[in-house]
Amino acid sequence: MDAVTYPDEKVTRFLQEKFIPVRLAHDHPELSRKFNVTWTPALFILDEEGTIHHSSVGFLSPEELIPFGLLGLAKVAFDQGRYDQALGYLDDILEHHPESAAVPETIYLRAVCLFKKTNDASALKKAYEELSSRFPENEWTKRAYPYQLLQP
Amino acid sequence: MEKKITWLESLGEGLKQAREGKKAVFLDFFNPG
Repeated sequence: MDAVTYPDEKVTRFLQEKFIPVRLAHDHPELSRKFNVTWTPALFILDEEGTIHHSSVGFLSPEELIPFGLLGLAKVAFDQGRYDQALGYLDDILEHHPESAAVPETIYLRAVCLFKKTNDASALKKAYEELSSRFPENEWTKRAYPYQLLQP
Repeated sequence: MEKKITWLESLGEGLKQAREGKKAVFLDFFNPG
């Protein structure tokens, strides 16, 4: 991460603008146990109260770190009921990081956001159709499987 | 001039700044060895 990802200009700007970046040694006497850190890099997106909303273990390239962070921000907003803000972050991923590994989960969460906002289940069904078409073996397609049965 | 990420080394300070700035925290546990 120090050799490739963090020196990347876009990553630096993204983390500095969107987050408070905090870095701790993996063997921090108190917090490594609290966060169950057993391998590095271990990355967590926390809200201002310290609640974990998103996490990852292992190397992320610059191309993956930014969508990982955007998905984390979307999850913070979603979990706090700010669906429009969450949708903004998710649309950012789909528009600017369409090849990212975060896309299937983004499609899933975007549909859930729309459903929570509008109570219209058609977004869930459409998400399953898109996921099964583009990512047939992905875990998020499997999680969306029941949505194909929803009536419009 | 190359910019670097300004990392805080205290989660407590990070959460304090997150509350003040209405931001989320990006927490990285790393292996300095």
